[in-house]
Amino acid sequence: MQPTITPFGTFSLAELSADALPTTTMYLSADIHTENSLRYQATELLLADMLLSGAGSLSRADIFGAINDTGGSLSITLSGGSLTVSIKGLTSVIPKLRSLLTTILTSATFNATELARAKKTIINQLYEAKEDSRSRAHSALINHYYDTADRRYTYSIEDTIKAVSQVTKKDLERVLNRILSSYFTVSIASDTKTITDTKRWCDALRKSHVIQSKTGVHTQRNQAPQSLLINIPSRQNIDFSIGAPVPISLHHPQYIPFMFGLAVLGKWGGFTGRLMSTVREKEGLTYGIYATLEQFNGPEFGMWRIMTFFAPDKAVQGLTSTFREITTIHTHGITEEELKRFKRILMTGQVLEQDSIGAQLRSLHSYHKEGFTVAEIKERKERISTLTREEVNQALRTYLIPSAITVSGAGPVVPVQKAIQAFHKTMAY
Amino acid sequence: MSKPVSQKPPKGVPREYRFIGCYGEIEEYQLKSNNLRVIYQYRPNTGTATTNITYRVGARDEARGETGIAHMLEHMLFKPTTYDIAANVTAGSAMQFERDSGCILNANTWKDRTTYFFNYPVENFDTAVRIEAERMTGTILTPAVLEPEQGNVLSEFDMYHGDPFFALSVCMVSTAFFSHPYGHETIGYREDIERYTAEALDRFYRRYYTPHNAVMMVIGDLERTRALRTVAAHFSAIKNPPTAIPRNYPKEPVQEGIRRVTISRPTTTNAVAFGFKHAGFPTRDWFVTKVLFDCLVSGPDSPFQKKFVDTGRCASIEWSQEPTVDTNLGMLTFTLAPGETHSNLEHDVREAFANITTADLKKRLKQVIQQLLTSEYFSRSSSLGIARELTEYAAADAINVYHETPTILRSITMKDILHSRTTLLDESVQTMGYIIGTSSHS
Repeated sequence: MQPTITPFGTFSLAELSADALPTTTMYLSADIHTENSLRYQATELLLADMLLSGAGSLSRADIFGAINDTGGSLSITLSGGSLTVSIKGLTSVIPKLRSLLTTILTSATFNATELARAKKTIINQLYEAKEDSRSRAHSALINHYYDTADRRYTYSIEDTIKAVSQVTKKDLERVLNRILSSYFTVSIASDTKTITDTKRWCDALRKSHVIQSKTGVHTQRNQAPQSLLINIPSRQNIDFSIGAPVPISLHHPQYIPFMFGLAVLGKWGGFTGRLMSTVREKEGLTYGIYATLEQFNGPEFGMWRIMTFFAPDKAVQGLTSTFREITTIHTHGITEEELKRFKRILMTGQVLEQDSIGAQLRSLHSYHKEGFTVAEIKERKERISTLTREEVNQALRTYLIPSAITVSGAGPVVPVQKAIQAFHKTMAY
Repeated sequence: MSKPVSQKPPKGVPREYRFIGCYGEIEEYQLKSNNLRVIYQYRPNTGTATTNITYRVGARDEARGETGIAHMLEHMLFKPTTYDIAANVTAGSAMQFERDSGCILNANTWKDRTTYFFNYPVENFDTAVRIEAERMTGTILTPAVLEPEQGNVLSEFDMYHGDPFFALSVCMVSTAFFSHPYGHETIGYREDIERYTAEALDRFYRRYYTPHNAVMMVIGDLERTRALRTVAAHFSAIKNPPTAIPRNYPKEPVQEGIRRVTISRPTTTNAVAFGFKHAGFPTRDWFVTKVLFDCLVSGPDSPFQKKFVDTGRCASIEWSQEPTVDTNLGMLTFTLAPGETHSNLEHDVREAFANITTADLKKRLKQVIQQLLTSEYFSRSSSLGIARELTEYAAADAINVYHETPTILRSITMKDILHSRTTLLDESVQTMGYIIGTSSHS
């Protein structure tokens, strides 16, 4: 099944066509980022719920009733200025779900009763999030490097709770207008007829909207590496996010070599990365330890991160082992054997996408919303096989600097705080 | 044994096999030499396959003092085998397979079964089957190999135990079941994990890791004759122990009245959990209970979400129901909002549960069934997804029901779910649990 991507002015459509498919999956994304004020972030938290809570003559119960009657699903997520709508169901019900989405996007009511309800729900969820040590360690790492105006920055839970309670109907309408004046990327796996109908539907939806070009704020702070520790005494383990910014974008020639090197260090999922082989398998210090690139959007720079956890009494030992592996790969790079092996591993990942249309569509959409054409996607995937050891090692030497890494931890940190800080000082500038 | 839809054997079945039956696209066979069950489904034009071996052994087979041993053993099957040592494969074939090929691999242990799977490009099929055959008999269980992995399992235990909801579920199942081994969680108790010996693991391994206690699944872009011949080539010679595995599961005594348990932690989380004993999987009653709770709890417009989350009394509600062979404890868990009290919430949920009417559920029932039917299409759209779902049916020796599940779902009526609700109102099937958080939000 060969994908196609076609731009149409106010939207682009990526297609995976299979006429025997009984189901349809469709993703619609838009990048609406222009600001990251506390008020905006609070509005974002409420918007997905509120879009499904009343539109035109439909109440919240009507909207969910209509979705549920199809047996399918229509979900909306909005975070960091990125909107994604997902529609899934038997192909026969897709026209109903598309029509519903049109009503939701063009006639949202944002009534006061539903807004009060949504605020209560979100605020309660935020209270629960205080104990989410993994998420808090992650946010603390990101916040260390990005300014409040940057889309990646997350305000404190306490400030967000206050801001959520102040969001108004006008705030919601402002963000919805921003969505409607944004470029849509739509990706769909279905039969030919449904895809043709979907293109027609996109045309109609976008007809009366003018795309307004946006300039998102991207403010990375020039911060020294630090150890950031948040005490959550109810947890058993300390969750860690360890990493640093990477001053390149998705499109930079060193992105793929660096991604490859990071996979050798700690490929996400499975046991193939060096970190899992040593820190977990040989040393028994953790159940899981992985590395990844993240926070990239279009032309914006991103960061690399290791995610793991250690029991408090193993935290310093675990961090020592982790930094040992970082230092080793930074200094000595990857071996020729690793180059060959990880080429096979990453190319296999591409083959395994063929196991399901769902996996193929997810992969296609992830490239599509970053602006890649079909030819560029193919070239990018094939780039893995032409990488040289020197390219990978050059990228590792440039971006994986052991003395420039922040360690962010959340959990029962108090007994080991001083020891972690002392350890980090031995590594950092 | 499963009841087949069709008993006409397909073409190309090697003579090492006894054909059991077809259930839609699924074919079931048995190796004549050792009764290994083999499940096959052809998925052409993907270039990929999944092999999955499910052993009918899990937490239910564990004695007191050895809880979690089935799960510990699962970890050990990723270590070098006797065959690996002989071939100088120091990492262990399963791990080496992942490192060499980039396949997806994993395993998991549950109450009734332990399952191992690989998902890979089809040219690796022979390797995948060989590895499963070798680790069925060649796993090495010595103190030197056990000790480092015990550390990993303890780390995993700590990861779960740090979650107050998991800690509550441990207490609730042990309170709900006095005798039945479902009364402990699959990972076991820390005190038992710390004390495992290699001898105990070896005994467990030799008793349960046998061909006649296993179901091997081959799902993917592999022609039938090749798939079955390859499995036969690697497994036919493996013998079963001379005596059958005795399975003397204790019968749970009748519960008299409601049971209660509380855990208290320095957390801001507060929760109330209702445990309901429900029928085993995949009986029709299991599906009826699932549909009942999906009607009540699943989705933002469900009656309980509207009553307890939308009103700000709870942050979230969740229903969990495991596919276990015997009667098990399903849990309906409410995470309280700040200021809500446990006893008030319990009282109001009981009232709401008792007073649910036909009118409340009529529209929901049709929608929930349609949603479950649609989600079956999606979950069965990859070889990995099919294997994952079939595992639970294999554990219950009810492969045919996998094919019948949509029919069962369509047959569920309002009378069925109201009857299920009435049964669950009886306090002698209930266990209550509270998480009391001793920290405040301020």
